Amino acid sequence: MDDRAMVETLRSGAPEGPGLLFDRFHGVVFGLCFRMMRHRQDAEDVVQETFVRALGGIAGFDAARPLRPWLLGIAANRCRTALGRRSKRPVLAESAEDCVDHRPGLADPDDLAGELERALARLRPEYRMVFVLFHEQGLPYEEIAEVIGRPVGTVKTWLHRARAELAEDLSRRGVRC
Amino acid sequence: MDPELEAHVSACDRCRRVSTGYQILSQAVASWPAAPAPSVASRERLRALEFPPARVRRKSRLVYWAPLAAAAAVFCLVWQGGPAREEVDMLASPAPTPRVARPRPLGAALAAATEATIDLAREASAPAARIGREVLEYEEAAATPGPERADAAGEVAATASEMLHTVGERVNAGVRPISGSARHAFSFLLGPAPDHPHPAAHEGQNGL
Repeated sequence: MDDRAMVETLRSGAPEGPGLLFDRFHGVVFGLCFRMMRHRQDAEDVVQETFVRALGGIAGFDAARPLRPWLLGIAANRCRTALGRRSKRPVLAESAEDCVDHRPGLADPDDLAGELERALARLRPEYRMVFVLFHEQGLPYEEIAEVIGRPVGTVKTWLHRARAELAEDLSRRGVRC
Repeated sequence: MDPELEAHVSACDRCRRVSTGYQILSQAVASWPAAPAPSVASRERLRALEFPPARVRRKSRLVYWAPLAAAAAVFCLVWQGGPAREEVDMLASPAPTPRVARPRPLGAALAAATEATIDLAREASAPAARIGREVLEYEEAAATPGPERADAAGEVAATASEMLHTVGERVNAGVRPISGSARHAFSFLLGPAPDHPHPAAHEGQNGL
């Protein structure tokens, strides 16, 4: 089912419509939210908010546009809002399996993926989002620009800065190839 | 890597450090695992949510009729007139010209003002002039020999006494004498200066 047919199904109020949308985009949206929130429970909450908003606004959605950047854009906005909300509340104890261990000095320098996770955690949220959308989700520049609502040039600039900061962070921490 | 660039990196510490950082990042991204899949529980929770059926918001009939109604109202106002038309009529009609007296020439205005000033001065100085005339008549009567002189002198004395009495009554009534500035203003009524100088002037000249 292509995007236009899915939009029509959702607009028609068919009971299977939301399920089809979840099956198709749940993983993508959750991946972005998990990378941004770095906390499984928070990410699941943001995913739920994202789909609630998307289904609430599907009537006004332009069916000629692709669904994925629209959904990821809603998720990006929800992540920004949730991160702002989380920065204002006191830090609670988190279980080890819910979040990435970002304590310095405990990492194995040879654990490249773990080091990359920790370096990503220190990036600005907008840089992190662009990096995740490009390197993990594999979105092209134009689609990332549509997701974050910025020009393509801004996307390229942010991606370059994200890479430069990550490379410097990794080399400063003595990570070896 | 380009051989030329590789040669530069081998010689430049700063560029070698940057290059090493990007190589590490490249390998880290390659070994970066995909984001974890959402849990089954969250998927079920999401499916359990009840979403109201999406409805395309149709435009109400008011959206179509409102511009037409507004246009009709404007047309009626323009065609039938109203307060705005009255204003337009008022603007179209010529403004009434106020009746203003034509200004007189400056010379005529000055002549009228001079005449009015002289009349005012005459009225104001009439009592003083009358007293002066009576005094002069008394002096002439005194210079006249014979019984006519005595009659005239008596008549003048009576008139002077009466005048003094009148003046005294006016002073008692609070009538203020003419001020110095008014006297100066109406000095032209006194006529030319007497031929004989003031005695004080003679004394002053003799004193010098």
